[in-house]
Amino acid sequence: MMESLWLLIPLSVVLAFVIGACFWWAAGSGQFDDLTGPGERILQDNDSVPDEFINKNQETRPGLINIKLPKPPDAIIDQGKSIASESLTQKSL
Amino acid sequence: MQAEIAQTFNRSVGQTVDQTAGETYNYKVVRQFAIMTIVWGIVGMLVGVIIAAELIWPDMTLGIPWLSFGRLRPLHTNAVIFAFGGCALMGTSYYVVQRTCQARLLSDRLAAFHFWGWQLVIVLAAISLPLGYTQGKEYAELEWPIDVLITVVWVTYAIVFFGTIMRRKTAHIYVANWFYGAFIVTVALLHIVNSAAVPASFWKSYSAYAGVQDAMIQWWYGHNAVGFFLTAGFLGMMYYFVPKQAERPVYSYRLSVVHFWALIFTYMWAGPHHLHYTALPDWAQSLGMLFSLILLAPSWGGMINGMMTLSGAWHKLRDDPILKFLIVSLSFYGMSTFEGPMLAIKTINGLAHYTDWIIGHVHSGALGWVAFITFGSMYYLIPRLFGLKQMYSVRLISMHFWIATIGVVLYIAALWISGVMQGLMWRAVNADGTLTYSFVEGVKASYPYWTIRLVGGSLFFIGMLIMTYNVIRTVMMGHAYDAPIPATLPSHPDLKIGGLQPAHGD
Repeated sequence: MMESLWLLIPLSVVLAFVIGACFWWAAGSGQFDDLTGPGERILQDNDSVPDEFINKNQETRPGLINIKLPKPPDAIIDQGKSIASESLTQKSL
Repeated sequence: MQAEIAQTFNRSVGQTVDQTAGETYNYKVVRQFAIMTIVWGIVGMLVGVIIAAELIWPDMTLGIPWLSFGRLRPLHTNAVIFAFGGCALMGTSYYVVQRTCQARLLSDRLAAFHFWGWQLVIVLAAISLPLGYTQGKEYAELEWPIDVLITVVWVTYAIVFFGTIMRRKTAHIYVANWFYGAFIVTVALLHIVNSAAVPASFWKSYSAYAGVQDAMIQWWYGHNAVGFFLTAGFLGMMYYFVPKQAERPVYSYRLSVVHFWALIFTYMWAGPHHLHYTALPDWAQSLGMLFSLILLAPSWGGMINGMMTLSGAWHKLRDDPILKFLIVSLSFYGMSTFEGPMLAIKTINGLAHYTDWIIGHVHSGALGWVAFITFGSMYYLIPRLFGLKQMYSVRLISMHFWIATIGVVLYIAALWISGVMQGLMWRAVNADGTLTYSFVEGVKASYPYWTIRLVGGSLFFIGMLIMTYNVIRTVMMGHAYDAPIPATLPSHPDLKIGGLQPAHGD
Protein backbone atom coordinates (compact mmCIF):
# COMPACT_ATOMS: atom_id res chain seq x y z
CA MET A 1 0.00 0.00 0.00
CA MET A 2 1.21 3.48 -0.77
CA GLU A 3 1.44 5.17 2.60
CA SER A 4 2.89 8.35 1.12
CA LEU A 5 -0.32 8.84 -0.84
CA TRP A 6 -2.13 9.21 2.49
CA LEU A 7 -0.12 12.38 2.83
CA LEU A 8 -0.09 13.57 -0.78
CA ILE A 9 -3.73 13.02 -1.68
CA PRO A 10 -5.22 14.83 1.35
CA LEU A 11 -2.65 17.56 0.75
CA SER A 12 -3.87 17.90 -2.85
CA VAL A 13 -7.48 18.02 -1.71
CA VAL A 14 -6.69 20.71 0.85
CA LEU A 15 -4.72 22.60 -1.76
CA ALA A 16 -7.56 22.36 -4.26
CA PHE A 17 -9.86 23.90 -1.66
CA VAL A 18 -7.32 26.64 -0.93
CA ILE A 19 -7.02 27.41 -4.65
CA GLY A 20 -10.81 27.32 -4.87
CA ALA A 21 -11.04 29.81 -2.00
CA CYS A 22 -8.53 32.10 -3.73
CA PHE A 23 -10.57 31.88 -6.91
CA TRP A 24 -13.75 32.64 -4.95
CA TRP A 25 -12.09 35.67 -3.35
CA ALA A 26 -10.74 36.85 -6.70
CA ALA A 27 -14.16 36.61 -8.33
CA GLY A 28 -15.89 38.29 -5.41
CA SER A 29 -13.44 41.16 -5.13
CA GLY A 30 -13.80 42.11 -8.78
CA GLN A 31 -10.51 40.69 -10.08
CA PHE A 32 -12.32 39.35 -13.13
CA ASP A 33 -14.59 42.35 -13.74
CA ASP A 34 -12.37 43.78 -16.44
CA LEU A 35 -10.44 41.31 -18.51
CA THR A 36 -9.01 43.67 -21.11
CA GLY A 37 -7.99 46.84 -19.27
CA PRO A 38 -5.27 45.40 -17.02
CA GLY A 39 -3.35 44.14 -20.05
CA GLU A 40 -3.31 47.67 -21.49
CA ARG A 41 -2.57 49.32 -18.19
CA ILE A 42 0.92 47.88 -17.69
CA LEU A 43 1.85 49.60 -20.95
CA GLN A 44 0.67 52.96 -19.62
CA ASP A 45 3.04 52.60 -16.70
CA ASN A 46 6.11 54.20 -18.23
CA ASP A 47 9.10 52.53 -16.64
CA SER A 48 11.78 53.87 -18.93
CA VAL A 49 14.38 56.14 -17.38
CA PRO A 50 13.50 59.83 -17.84
CA ASP A 51 15.80 61.86 -20.08
CA GLU A 52 16.49 64.32 -17.26
CA PHE A 53 18.15 61.61 -15.20
CA ILE A 54 20.27 60.49 -18.14
CA ASN A 55 21.28 64.04 -18.96
CA LYS A 56 22.17 64.78 -15.36
CA ASN A 57 24.20 61.61 -15.20
CA GLN A 58 25.92 62.59 -18.43
CA GLU A 59 26.85 65.99 -17.04
CA THR A 60 28.48 64.53 -13.99
CA ARG A 61 30.23 61.76 -15.87
CA PRO A 62 30.92 63.11 -19.36
CA GLY A 63 31.91 60.74 -22.08
CA LEU A 64 30.65 57.66 -20.31
CA ILE A 65 27.29 57.64 -22.01
CA ASN A 66 26.92 57.05 -25.67
CA ILE A 67 23.29 56.39 -26.38
CA LYS A 68 22.36 56.00 -29.98
CA LEU A 69 18.82 57.21 -30.56
CA PRO A 70 17.31 56.06 -33.85
CA LYS A 71 18.04 58.68 -36.49
CA PRO A 72 14.86 60.41 -37.72
CA PRO A 73 14.42 61.00 -41.46
CA ASP A 74 16.35 63.99 -42.84
CA ALA A 75 13.16 65.91 -43.58
CA ILE A 76 12.21 65.91 -39.90
CA ILE A 77 15.71 66.95 -38.87
CA ASP A 78 15.62 69.89 -41.30
CA GLN A 79 12.18 70.86 -40.04
CA GLY A 80 13.46 70.65 -36.49
CA LYS A 81 16.46 72.81 -37.29
CA SER A 82 14.33 75.47 -38.91
CA ILE A 83 11.92 75.52 -35.95
CA ALA A 84 14.83 75.71 -33.57
CA SER A 85 16.43 78.58 -35.44
CA GLU A 86 13.05 80.33 -35.71
CA SER A 87 12.49 80.13 -31.98
CA LEU A 88 16.04 81.34 -31.38
CA THR A 89 15.60 84.34 -33.64
CA GLN A 90 12.27 85.09 -32.00
CA LYS A 91 13.97 85.05 -28.64
CA SER A 92 16.78 87.29 -29.81
CA LEU A 93 14.20 89.73 -31.14
CA MET B 1 4.81 67.02 -34.49
CA GLN B 2 6.17 70.46 -33.64
CA ALA B 3 5.78 69.81 -29.93
CA GLU B 4 7.65 66.56 -30.35
CA ILE B 5 10.52 68.27 -32.12
CA ALA B 6 10.64 71.00 -29.54
CA GLN B 7 10.85 68.29 -26.91
CA THR B 8 13.72 66.61 -28.69
CA PHE B 9 15.43 69.98 -28.97
CA ASN B 10 14.94 70.69 -25.29
CA ARG B 11 16.33 67.29 -24.46
CA SER B 12 19.43 67.85 -26.54
CA VAL B 13 20.16 71.15 -24.80
CA GLY B 14 19.67 69.44 -21.46
CA GLN B 15 16.53 71.05 -20.14
CA THR B 16 16.40 70.24 -16.46
CA VAL B 17 13.26 69.08 -14.73
CA ASP B 18 13.00 68.58 -10.99
CA GLN B 19 13.68 65.03 -9.91
CA THR B 20 10.57 64.15 -8.04
CA ALA B 21 11.05 64.23 -4.33
CA GLY B 22 8.35 61.61 -3.69
CA GLU B 23 8.70 58.00 -2.67
CA THR B 24 10.67 55.70 -4.94
CA TYR B 25 10.47 52.01 -5.73
CA ASN B 26 12.99 49.70 -4.11
CA TYR B 27 15.18 49.04 -7.13
CA LYS B 28 18.21 48.27 -4.99
CA VAL B 29 17.23 44.68 -4.23
CA VAL B 30 16.19 44.19 -7.87
CA ARG B 31 19.64 45.42 -8.97
CA GLN B 32 21.34 43.05 -6.55
CA PHE B 33 19.36 40.05 -7.75
CA ALA B 34 19.86 41.04 -11.40
CA ILE B 35 23.64 41.19 -11.03
CA MET B 36 23.77 37.91 -9.14
CA THR B 37 21.64 36.30 -11.87
CA ILE B 38 24.50 37.00 -14.26
CA VAL B 39 27.19 35.87 -11.80
CA TRP B 40 25.47 32.58 -10.93
CA GLY B 41 24.63 32.07 -14.60
CA ILE B 42 28.34 32.01 -15.41
CA VAL B 43 29.13 29.68 -12.49
CA GLY B 44 26.27 27.26 -13.16
CA MET B 45 26.84 27.06 -16.91
CA LEU B 46 30.60 26.69 -16.50
CA VAL B 47 30.08 23.71 -14.18
CA GLY B 48 27.69 22.31 -16.78
CA VAL B 49 30.35 22.59 -19.48
CA ILE B 50 32.88 20.91 -17.18
CA ILE B 51 30.66 17.90 -16.47
CA ALA B 52 29.75 17.60 -20.16
CA ALA B 53 33.49 17.39 -20.83
CA GLU B 54 33.91 14.84 -18.02
CA LEU B 55 31.55 12.49 -19.85
CA ILE B 56 33.96 12.52 -22.78
CA TRP B 57 37.20 12.60 -20.79
CA PRO B 58 36.35 10.93 -17.46
CA ASP B 59 39.89 11.37 -16.14
CA MET B 60 40.19 15.07 -16.91
CA THR B 61 39.92 16.13 -13.26
CA LEU B 62 42.77 13.81 -12.27
CA GLY B 63 40.64 11.77 -9.90
CA ILE B 64 40.08 14.65 -7.46
CA PRO B 65 36.90 13.57 -5.66
CA TRP B 66 35.50 17.11 -5.23
CA LEU B 67 35.52 17.56 -9.00
CA SER B 68 34.02 14.18 -9.89
CA PHE B 69 30.87 14.04 -12.02
CA GLY B 70 28.70 12.77 -9.17
CA ARG B 71 29.49 15.79 -7.00
CA LEU B 72 29.59 18.50 -9.66
CA ARG B 73 26.35 17.42 -11.31
CA PRO B 74 24.14 18.45 -8.34
CA LEU B 75 26.21 21.62 -8.07
CA HIS B 76 25.40 22.38 -11.72
CA THR B 77 21.66 21.77 -11.30
CA ASN B 78 21.45 23.71 -8.05
CA ALA B 79 23.45 26.60 -9.47
CA VAL B 80 21.45 27.00 -12.65
CA ILE B 81 18.01 26.35 -11.15
CA PHE B 82 18.14 27.91 -7.71
CA ALA B 83 20.99 30.40 -8.08
CA PHE B 84 20.64 31.64 -11.68
CA GLY B 85 16.91 30.94 -12.09
CA GLY B 86 16.13 31.78 -8.47
CA CYS B 87 17.84 35.17 -8.51
CA ALA B 88 16.17 35.97 -11.85
CA LEU B 89 12.72 35.09 -10.47
CA MET B 90 13.25 36.94 -7.21
CA GLY B 91 14.63 40.06 -8.87
CA THR B 92 11.98 40.26 -11.59
CA SER B 93 9.16 39.42 -9.18
CA TYR B 94 10.18 42.34 -6.94
CA TYR B 95 10.28 44.62 -9.99
CA VAL B 96 6.97 43.45 -11.40
CA VAL B 97 5.10 43.44 -8.10
CA GLN B 98 6.22 46.99 -7.33
CA ARG B 99 5.51 48.40 -10.80
CA THR B 100 2.13 46.73 -11.23
CA CYS B 101 0.96 47.42 -7.66
CA GLN B 102 2.46 50.94 -7.71
CA ALA B 103 3.80 50.37 -4.23
CA ARG B 104 7.23 50.10 -2.68
CA LEU B 105 8.21 46.71 -1.24
CA LEU B 106 6.73 46.00 2.18
CA SER B 107 10.08 46.23 3.92
CA ASP B 108 13.55 47.10 2.66
CA ARG B 109 15.20 45.28 5.55
CA LEU B 110 13.30 42.06 4.96
CA ALA B 111 14.05 42.30 1.24
CA ALA B 112 17.75 42.75 2.04
CA PHE B 113 17.60 39.79 4.42
CA HIS B 114 16.00 37.78 1.64
CA PHE B 115 18.76 38.72 -0.81
CA TRP B 116 21.71 38.01 1.50
CA GLY B 117 20.04 34.90 2.95
CA TRP B 118 19.55 33.46 -0.52
CA GLN B 119 23.16 34.19 -1.47
CA LEU B 120 24.28 32.42 1.71
CA VAL B 121 22.20 29.37 0.76
CA ILE B 122 23.88 29.31 -2.66
CA VAL B 123 27.39 29.65 -1.23
CA LEU B 124 26.71 26.89 1.30
CA ALA B 125 25.45 24.69 -1.55
CA ALA B 126 28.56 25.44 -3.59
CA ILE B 127 30.74 24.34 -0.67
CA SER B 128 28.78 21.39 0.72
CA LEU B 129 27.91 19.63 -2.55
CA PRO B 130 31.50 19.18 -3.84
CA LEU B 131 32.47 18.03 -0.33
CA GLY B 132 29.92 15.26 -0.76
CA TYR B 133 27.24 16.32 1.73
CA THR B 134 23.96 15.36 0.12
CA GLN B 135 20.51 14.03 0.92
CA GLY B 136 20.62 12.21 -2.39
CA LYS B 137 17.30 13.67 -3.59
CA GLU B 138 17.43 15.16 -7.05
CA TYR B 139 17.04 18.98 -6.98
CA ALA B 140 16.77 18.72 -3.18
CA GLU B 141 20.28 17.56 -2.35
CA LEU B 142 21.12 20.15 0.28
CA GLU B 143 21.51 18.86 3.84
CA TRP B 144 19.03 19.72 6.57
CA PRO B 145 20.69 22.82 8.10
CA ILE B 146 20.65 24.49 4.67
CA ASP B 147 17.06 23.31 4.19
CA VAL B 148 16.11 25.10 7.40
CA LEU B 149 17.82 28.27 6.19
CA ILE B 150 16.00 28.01 2.84
CA THR B 151 12.69 27.79 4.71
CA VAL B 152 13.43 30.94 6.72
CA VAL B 153 14.55 32.88 3.64
CA TRP B 154 11.58 31.66 1.62
CA VAL B 155 9.08 32.71 4.28
CA THR B 156 10.70 36.17 4.26
CA TYR B 157 10.30 36.27 0.48
CA ALA B 158 6.61 35.38 0.81
CA ILE B 159 6.07 38.06 3.48
CA VAL B 160 7.71 40.77 1.35
CA PHE B 161 5.95 39.72 -1.86
CA PHE B 162 2.44 39.27 -0.50
CA GLY B 163 2.87 42.22 1.85
CA THR B 164 3.58 44.38 -1.18
CA ILE B 165 0.46 43.08 -2.91
CA MET B 166 -1.55 43.92 0.22
CA ARG B 167 -0.43 47.56 0.08
CA ARG B 168 -1.06 47.92 -3.65
CA LYS B 169 -2.60 51.14 -4.97
CA THR B 170 -4.40 49.38 -7.80
CA ALA B 171 -7.51 47.30 -7.30
CA HIS B 172 -6.55 44.69 -9.85
CA ILE B 173 -3.68 42.27 -9.27
CA TYR B 174 -1.89 41.84 -12.59
CA VAL B 175 -1.75 38.24 -13.84
CA ALA B 176 2.07 38.05 -13.59
CA ASN B 177 1.77 38.48 -9.82
CA TRP B 178 -0.60 35.54 -9.62
CA PHE B 179 1.98 33.34 -11.31
CA TYR B 180 4.78 34.61 -9.07
CA GLY B 181 2.55 34.16 -6.02
CA ALA B 182 1.67 30.56 -6.94
CA PHE B 183 5.36 29.86 -7.44
CA ILE B 184 6.24 31.21 -3.98
CA VAL B 185 3.48 29.37 -2.10
CA THR B 186 3.85 26.04 -3.88
CA VAL B 187 7.64 25.87 -3.69
CA ALA B 188 7.38 26.49 0.07
CA LEU B 189 4.97 23.58 0.43
CA LEU B 190 7.00 21.25 -1.79
CA HIS B 191 10.22 22.08 0.00
CA ILE B 192 8.82 21.44 3.47
CA VAL B 193 7.16 18.11 2.59
CA ASN B 194 10.05 16.68 0.58
CA SER B 195 12.85 17.86 2.85
CA ALA B 196 11.31 16.32 5.98
CA ALA B 197 14.21 14.35 7.43
CA VAL B 198 15.58 12.95 10.65
CA PRO B 199 18.99 14.50 11.41
CA ALA B 200 21.66 12.04 12.48
CA SER B 201 24.35 14.68 12.88
CA PHE B 202 24.87 18.25 11.73
CA TRP B 203 25.75 17.20 8.18
CA LYS B 204 23.83 13.95 7.86
CA SER B 205 20.14 13.17 7.86
CA TYR B 206 17.77 10.43 6.76
CA SER B 207 14.59 11.06 4.80
CA ALA B 208 11.37 10.82 6.77
CA TYR B 209 10.05 8.45 4.09
CA ALA B 210 11.43 5.12 2.88
CA GLY B 211 11.64 3.15 -0.36
CA VAL B 212 8.97 3.74 -2.96
CA GLN B 213 7.17 6.11 -0.56
CA ASP B 214 10.24 8.29 -0.62
CA ALA B 215 10.41 8.05 -4.41
CA MET B 216 6.78 9.11 -4.74
CA ILE B 217 7.29 12.12 -2.43
CA GLN B 218 10.55 13.00 -4.21
CA TRP B 219 8.96 13.08 -7.67
CA TRP B 220 5.83 14.77 -6.44
CA TYR B 221 8.33 17.42 -5.35
CA GLY B 222 10.59 17.08 -8.37
CA HIS B 223 8.04 17.51 -11.06
CA ASN B 224 6.15 20.24 -9.24
CA ALA B 225 9.43 22.06 -8.78
CA VAL B 226 9.69 21.99 -12.57
CA GLY B 227 6.07 23.09 -12.77
CA PHE B 228 6.13 25.90 -10.27
CA PHE B 229 9.76 27.00 -10.10
CA LEU B 230 10.70 26.64 -13.75
CA THR B 231 7.27 27.18 -15.30
CA ALA B 232 4.82 29.23 -13.21
CA GLY B 233 7.49 31.65 -11.99
CA PHE B 234 8.92 32.22 -15.45
CA LEU B 235 5.42 32.56 -16.90
CA GLY B 236 5.01 35.48 -14.51
CA MET B 237 8.14 36.94 -16.07
CA MET B 238 6.75 36.24 -19.56
CA TYR B 239 3.40 37.95 -18.89
CA TYR B 240 5.16 41.15 -17.89
CA PHE B 241 8.26 41.42 -20.04
CA VAL B 242 6.86 40.17 -23.37
CA PRO B 243 4.10 42.82 -23.50
CA LYS B 244 6.45 45.52 -22.21
CA GLN B 245 9.18 44.80 -24.74
CA ALA B 246 6.70 44.35 -27.59
CA GLU B 247 4.85 47.49 -26.44
CA ARG B 248 1.59 45.67 -26.96
CA PRO B 249 -0.85 44.24 -24.40
CA VAL B 250 -0.85 40.49 -24.01
CA TYR B 251 -2.86 38.91 -26.86
CA SER B 252 -5.74 37.93 -24.59
CA TYR B 253 -5.73 38.98 -20.97
CA ARG B 254 -8.76 36.76 -20.44
CA LEU B 255 -6.81 33.74 -21.71
CA SER B 256 -3.92 34.57 -19.40
CA VAL B 257 -6.27 34.40 -16.41
CA VAL B 258 -7.71 31.08 -17.64
CA HIS B 259 -4.14 29.88 -18.23
CA PHE B 260 -3.25 30.61 -14.62
CA TRP B 261 -6.18 28.86 -12.97
CA ALA B 262 -6.07 25.88 -15.34
CA LEU B 263 -2.36 25.40 -14.77
CA ILE B 264 -2.43 25.52 -10.99
CA PHE B 265 -5.50 23.30 -10.68
CA THR B 266 -4.03 20.57 -12.88
CA TYR B 267 -0.30 20.63 -12.21
CA MET B 268 0.03 18.82 -8.89
CA TRP B 269 -0.26 15.19 -10.05
CA ALA B 270 2.16 14.92 -12.96
CA GLY B 271 5.02 13.65 -10.75
CA PRO B 272 4.46 9.86 -11.03
CA HIS B 273 5.49 9.94 -14.71
CA HIS B 274 9.05 9.97 -13.38
CA LEU B 275 8.39 6.54 -11.87
CA HIS B 276 6.93 4.57 -14.80
CA TYR B 277 7.66 0.82 -14.63
CA THR B 278 8.92 1.04 -11.05
CA ALA B 279 7.54 -0.34 -7.77
CA LEU B 280 4.97 2.47 -7.78
CA PRO B 281 1.46 0.99 -8.21
CA ASP B 282 0.26 0.93 -11.81
CA TRP B 283 -2.77 3.11 -11.12
CA ALA B 284 -0.55 5.84 -9.67
CA GLN B 285 1.65 5.71 -12.78
CA SER B 286 -1.39 5.97 -15.05
CA LEU B 287 -2.73 8.85 -12.99
CA GLY B 288 0.58 10.68 -13.45
CA MET B 289 0.49 10.04 -17.19
CA LEU B 290 -3.09 11.28 -17.46
CA PHE B 291 -2.40 14.51 -15.60
CA SER B 292 0.75 15.08 -17.65
CA LEU B 293 -1.30 14.80 -20.86
CA ILE B 294 -3.93 17.20 -19.53
CA LEU B 295 -1.17 19.76 -18.92
CA LEU B 296 -0.63 20.18 -22.64
CA ALA B 297 -3.80 22.29 -22.91
CA PRO B 298 -3.03 25.11 -20.45
CA SER B 299 0.65 25.11 -21.46
CA TRP B 300 -0.09 25.62 -25.12
CA GLY B 301 -2.80 28.12 -24.32
CA GLY B 302 -0.21 30.21 -22.52
CA MET B 303 2.40 29.73 -25.21
CA ILE B 304 0.03 30.84 -27.97
CA ASN B 305 -1.10 33.77 -25.85
CA GLY B 306 2.48 34.95 -25.42
CA MET B 307 3.41 34.51 -29.07
CA MET B 308 0.27 36.14 -30.43
CA THR B 309 1.04 39.22 -28.37
CA LEU B 310 3.18 40.09 -31.36
CA SER B 311 0.34 39.65 -33.85
CA GLY B 312 0.31 42.65 -36.14
CA ALA B 313 3.80 43.61 -35.01
CA TRP B 314 5.87 40.69 -36.20
CA HIS B 315 8.23 43.12 -37.95
CA LYS B 316 9.53 44.06 -34.50
CA LEU B 317 11.24 40.67 -34.37
CA ARG B 318 13.42 41.67 -37.29
CA ASP B 319 15.60 44.12 -35.45
CA ASP B 320 14.89 43.70 -31.75
CA PRO B 321 17.12 40.96 -30.33
CA ILE B 322 15.48 41.23 -26.88
CA LEU B 323 12.15 40.35 -28.45
CA LYS B 324 13.87 37.52 -30.32
CA PHE B 325 14.99 36.07 -26.99
CA LEU B 326 11.51 36.37 -25.52
CA ILE B 327 9.64 34.92 -28.48
CA VAL B 328 12.10 32.09 -29.12
CA SER B 329 11.86 31.23 -25.42
CA LEU B 330 8.12 30.81 -25.93
CA SER B 331 8.66 28.49 -28.87
CA PHE B 332 10.96 26.37 -26.73
CA TYR B 333 8.31 26.45 -24.00
CA GLY B 334 5.81 25.15 -26.54
CA MET B 335 8.23 22.46 -27.70
CA SER B 336 9.09 21.24 -24.21
CA THR B 337 5.49 21.24 -23.03
CA PHE B 338 4.59 19.12 -26.06
CA GLU B 339 7.56 16.80 -25.63
CA GLY B 340 6.92 16.42 -21.88
CA PRO B 341 3.40 14.97 -22.09
CA MET B 342 4.52 12.73 -24.97
CA LEU B 343 7.41 11.41 -22.85
CA ALA B 344 4.96 10.81 -20.00
CA ILE B 345 3.04 8.27 -22.11
CA LYS B 346 4.10 4.89 -20.74
CA THR B 347 5.09 3.28 -24.04
CA ILE B 348 7.18 6.24 -25.16
CA ASN B 349 8.63 6.51 -21.69
CA GLY B 350 9.69 2.86 -21.94
CA LEU B 351 11.97 3.87 -24.80
CA ALA B 352 13.13 7.24 -23.52
CA HIS B 353 13.49 6.82 -19.76
CA TYR B 354 17.05 6.85 -18.37
CA THR B 355 18.43 7.85 -21.81
CA ASP B 356 19.94 11.13 -23.01
CA TRP B 357 16.59 12.07 -24.49
CA ILE B 358 15.43 13.10 -20.99
CA ILE B 359 18.50 15.29 -20.48
CA GLY B 360 17.85 16.84 -23.89
CA HIS B 361 14.21 17.46 -22.93
CA VAL B 362 15.22 19.11 -19.67
CA HIS B 363 17.68 21.37 -21.46
CA SER B 364 15.24 22.40 -24.15
CA GLY B 365 13.18 23.68 -21.23
CA ALA B 366 16.08 24.98 -19.15
CA LEU B 367 18.20 26.59 -21.86
CA GLY B 368 15.53 27.34 -24.45
CA TRP B 369 12.72 28.48 -22.19
CA VAL B 370 14.05 29.42 -18.74
CA ALA B 371 17.40 30.91 -19.72
CA PHE B 372 16.10 32.68 -22.85
CA ILE B 373 13.19 34.34 -21.07
CA THR B 374 15.64 35.35 -18.34
CA PHE B 375 18.12 36.82 -20.84
CA GLY B 376 15.36 38.78 -22.57
CA SER B 377 13.95 40.08 -19.29
CA MET B 378 17.41 41.02 -17.96
CA TYR B 379 18.26 42.93 -21.13
CA TYR B 380 15.02 44.83 -20.65
CA LEU B 381 15.51 45.34 -16.93
CA ILE B 382 19.19 46.15 -16.41
CA PRO B 383 19.28 49.49 -18.30
CA ARG B 384 16.19 50.60 -16.36
CA LEU B 385 17.86 49.77 -13.07
CA PHE B 386 21.03 51.63 -13.99
CA GLY B 387 19.49 54.81 -15.35
CA LEU B 388 19.84 54.12 -19.07
CA LYS B 389 17.59 53.73 -22.09
CA GLN B 390 19.14 50.52 -23.34
CA MET B 391 22.05 48.14 -22.98
CA TYR B 392 25.61 49.20 -23.83
CA SER B 393 25.45 47.30 -27.11
CA VAL B 394 22.40 46.01 -28.94
CA ARG B 395 24.63 44.22 -31.44
CA LEU B 396 26.13 42.16 -28.64
CA ILE B 397 22.61 41.14 -27.57
CA SER B 398 22.03 40.02 -31.13
CA MET B 399 25.31 38.10 -31.16
CA HIS B 400 24.39 36.47 -27.83
CA PHE B 401 21.03 35.47 -29.24
CA TRP B 402 22.42 33.71 -32.31
CA ILE B 403 25.27 31.96 -30.51
CA ALA B 404 22.95 30.76 -27.75
CA THR B 405 20.31 29.58 -30.24
CA ILE B 406 22.83 27.56 -32.24
CA GLY B 407 24.11 26.15 -28.95
CA VAL B 408 20.67 25.01 -27.78
CA VAL B 409 19.79 23.45 -31.12
CA LEU B 410 23.06 21.48 -31.26
CA TYR B 411 22.60 20.39 -27.66
CA ILE B 412 19.02 19.16 -28.03
CA ALA B 413 19.42 17.55 -31.44
CA ALA B 414 22.52 15.62 -30.34
CA LEU B 415 20.76 14.23 -27.28
CA TRP B 416 17.61 13.34 -29.22
CA ILE B 417 19.71 11.15 -31.47
CA SER B 418 21.82 9.60 -28.74
CA GLY B 419 18.74 9.14 -26.52
CA VAL B 420 16.72 7.23 -29.10
CA MET B 421 19.83 5.26 -30.06
CA GLN B 422 20.49 4.28 -26.44
CA GLY B 423 16.85 3.30 -25.94
CA LEU B 424 16.89 1.08 -29.02
CA MET B 425 20.23 -0.50 -28.15
CA TRP B 426 19.17 -1.30 -24.59
CA ARG B 427 15.99 -3.06 -25.66
CA ALA B 428 17.42 -4.94 -28.67
CA VAL B 429 17.32 -8.73 -28.13
CA ASN B 430 18.68 -11.59 -30.17
CA ALA B 431 16.57 -14.48 -31.44
CA ASP B 432 17.64 -16.55 -28.42
CA GLY B 433 16.45 -13.83 -26.02
CA THR B 434 19.85 -12.50 -24.97
CA LEU B 435 20.65 -8.78 -25.15
CA THR B 436 22.19 -7.70 -28.44
CA TYR B 437 24.35 -4.97 -26.90
CA SER B 438 26.14 -4.71 -23.59
CA PHE B 439 25.68 -1.44 -21.72
CA VAL B 440 29.17 -0.23 -22.50
CA GLU B 441 28.53 -0.53 -26.23
CA GLY B 442 25.75 2.01 -25.79
CA VAL B 443 28.18 4.30 -23.98
CA LYS B 444 30.74 3.94 -26.76
CA ALA B 445 28.17 4.76 -29.42
CA SER B 446 27.17 7.93 -27.50
CA TYR B 447 30.57 9.63 -27.60
CA PRO B 448 30.10 11.55 -30.89
CA TYR B 449 26.79 12.98 -29.64
CA TRP B 450 28.26 13.90 -26.27
CA THR B 451 30.94 15.81 -28.15
CA ILE B 452 28.29 17.73 -30.10
CA ARG B 453 26.50 18.37 -26.81
CA LEU B 454 29.72 19.78 -25.34
CA VAL B 455 30.07 22.10 -28.35
CA GLY B 456 26.46 23.24 -27.99
CA GLY B 457 26.82 23.80 -24.26
CA SER B 458 30.08 25.70 -24.76
CA LEU B 459 28.43 27.99 -27.32
CA PHE B 460 25.68 28.69 -24.82
CA PHE B 461 28.31 29.48 -22.18
CA ILE B 462 30.14 31.81 -24.60
CA GLY B 463 26.84 33.61 -25.12
CA MET B 464 26.61 34.04 -21.36
CA LEU B 465 30.11 35.58 -21.34
CA ILE B 466 29.08 38.03 -24.07
CA MET B 467 26.10 39.00 -21.95
CA THR B 468 28.37 39.48 -18.94
CA TYR B 469 30.63 41.85 -20.86
CA ASN B 470 27.61 43.78 -22.11
CA VAL B 471 26.19 44.03 -18.58
CA ILE B 472 29.52 45.18 -17.11
CA ARG B 473 29.82 47.94 -19.72
CA THR B 474 26.18 48.94 -19.14
CA VAL B 475 26.65 49.15 -15.39
CA MET B 476 29.87 51.14 -15.84
CA MET B 477 28.29 53.80 -17.99
CA GLY B 478 25.08 53.92 -16.01
CA HIS B 479 24.19 55.11 -12.57
CA ALA B 480 21.95 53.42 -10.01
CA TYR B 481 18.44 54.72 -10.57
CA ASP B 482 15.40 54.40 -8.32
CA ALA B 483 12.22 55.30 -10.14
CA PRO B 484 9.65 57.46 -8.36
CA ILE B 485 6.25 55.96 -7.65
CA PRO B 486 3.64 57.82 -9.69
CA ALA B 487 1.12 59.62 -7.50
CA THR B 488 -1.88 58.23 -9.35
CA LEU B 489 -2.39 55.63 -11.95
CA PRO B 490 -2.04 56.95 -15.48
CA SER B 491 -5.29 56.31 -17.23
CA HIS B 492 -6.56 56.75 -20.71
CA PRO B 493 -10.13 57.89 -21.45
CA ASP B 494 -10.43 55.49 -24.40
CA LEU B 495 -9.84 52.49 -22.23
CA LYS B 496 -12.53 50.74 -20.35
CA ILE B 497 -10.99 50.34 -16.95
CA GLY B 498 -13.15 48.52 -14.46
CA GLY B 499 -11.49 48.53 -11.11
CA LEU B 500 -9.72 51.81 -10.64
CA GLN B 501 -10.96 52.32 -7.11
CA PRO B 502 -8.29 52.05 -4.44
CA ALA B 503 -7.94 48.67 -2.78
CA HIS B 504 -9.86 47.97 0.41
CA GLY B 505 -8.51 49.78 3.41
CA ASP B 506 -6.33 52.07 1.34
